[in-house]
Amino acid sequence: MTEDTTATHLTDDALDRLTTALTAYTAMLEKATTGGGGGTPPAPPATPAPTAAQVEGLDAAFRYRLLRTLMSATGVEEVTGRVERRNRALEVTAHPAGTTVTHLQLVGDPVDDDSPGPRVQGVVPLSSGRVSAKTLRQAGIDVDGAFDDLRLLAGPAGPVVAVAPPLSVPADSHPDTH
Amino acid sequence: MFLSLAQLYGTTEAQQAEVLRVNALQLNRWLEEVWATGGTIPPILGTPRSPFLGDVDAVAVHRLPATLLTTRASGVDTTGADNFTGTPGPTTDGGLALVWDHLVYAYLVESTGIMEVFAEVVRRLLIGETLSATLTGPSVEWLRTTEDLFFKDPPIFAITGVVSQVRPQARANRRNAYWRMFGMDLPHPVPGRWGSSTETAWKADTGAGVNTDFRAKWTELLRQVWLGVENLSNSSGAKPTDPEYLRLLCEALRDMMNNRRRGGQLAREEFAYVATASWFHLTVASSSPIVTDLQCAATNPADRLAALANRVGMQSAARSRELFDLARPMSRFLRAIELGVFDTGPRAEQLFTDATLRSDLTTIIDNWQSATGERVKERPTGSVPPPSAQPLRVPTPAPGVPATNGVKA
Repeated sequence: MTEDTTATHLTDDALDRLTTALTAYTAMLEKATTGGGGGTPPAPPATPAPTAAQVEGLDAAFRYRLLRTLMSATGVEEVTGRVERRNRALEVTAHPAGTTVTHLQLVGDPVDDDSPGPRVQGVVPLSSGRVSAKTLRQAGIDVDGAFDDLRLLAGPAGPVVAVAPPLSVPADSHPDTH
Repeated sequence: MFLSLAQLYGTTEAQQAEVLRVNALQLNRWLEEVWATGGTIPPILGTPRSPFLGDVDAVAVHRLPATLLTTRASGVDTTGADNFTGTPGPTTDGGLALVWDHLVYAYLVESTGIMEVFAEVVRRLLIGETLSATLTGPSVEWLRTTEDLFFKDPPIFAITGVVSQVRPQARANRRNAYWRMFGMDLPHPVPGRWGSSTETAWKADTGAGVNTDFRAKWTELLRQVWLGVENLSNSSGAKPTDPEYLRLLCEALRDMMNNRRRGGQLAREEFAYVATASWFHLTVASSSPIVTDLQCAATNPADRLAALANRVGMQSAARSRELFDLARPMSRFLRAIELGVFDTGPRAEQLFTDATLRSDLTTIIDNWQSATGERVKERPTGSVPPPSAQPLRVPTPAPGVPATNGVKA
């Protein structure tokens, strides 16, 4: 492997030798990482949780988009779906299949007795429909609470999700949404 | 408001034009239903105490009792203007109450001259044959509804009844509301037929309740947003973008508008004026029956309005196109500001980093600059030292300056 080979002058023979060397190098790396053959491949790097400022910014953008939709009546539709706990994450799925769920809107209890509605706790972005419990806890969300009263609202910027604990919204106000 | 109703009728021009055929009595009742249903920001948009309309009770204190409201329901049916459901009409979208436009929407649409042009169109159609037009059925329906809803005294006790013996002129009342909220008058005078063009009694007795510095703060906000857009992808060199300063500007605008809304002031007026403006906007939004019958069909609202104005010997505003394009985006943005959506630095930063907001704000900047002639995007160049990216003082809502009757502030 002492001959000089540039990308613009690769011969078939040189390309074969380069591929072989790369394959061997990859195998060597895998062995070093897993401590021998047959080990579990390393997990892909975890997506860093969004910072508080990022969550705040996303919340503002989300609210503006929803307000924009409501003021132009261009179509907020309820879609069905569910929220499930899987391992240490919350997974949101919407129907029909293939609908992209981009945000989780969390609604808390009313602030006081004469409040006309529930209080928003925040919006967290979803990655492939999932959000980690750690992210939710950082947003002050009780991840052990019930998430069985769910509204999915589909707007032009992608479906958004409102999760309301049973006590904050009458159960009969959201029929057939879970 | 009527643009939202049209959207609920469908997405085609023909479907949306059906709204213009609905009976005036039904539409009047529908407005009552919208008022009763809306007026509170949906919980997922803010806290229950969000200062929408200035007071959470602004709607409740004017709302009809529920039973009385449904005793004579509008029965508006979005499948056809001739249908009557016997129940209240659509007032929600996806279960969330419709949010009507901000007062600035009415101001911008009226700035095109559309109200005065249609006043003259309706007058001529009703008192003579100077327009030499033979109206089709849908146009006759539009004519009657328009006169009934907007050129008669409103039904007694109606939510849109913001005319009385103590404020008898709707034109003057609207100018009064615009003046108080934005410190701006309409660019055209009151036509001589309807009053004196020099009559400015509506400016009297506003006291300190005028947002005289709205325009300066608003323009500065647009300039700062544009700085952010310009420097969004800068990775080196000076970056004058300052989200915290944007926040301060948003807060100043929010506070000055909320000041005018204390105790629910201007809430009913805003609702009535926005409904009026949206009716005429909807009429020229497509080549509707009345536009077609008057042979004023064109490809956009501004050209249709210009053609209608020509038909009655008037001129619409030269920048009508920009004003129409500006009205709804600016209305949405001011609503969001009033709701405190951008009341922290990270939130305000979204004004130029979020794709939807950036697109809306760029539309607003382009159209505002063109409509008003204020150069938002340009800064002085040449041998003079470059100006600071922002003024020395942080923005605060200035106390209003009482206007003297007959003297423009």
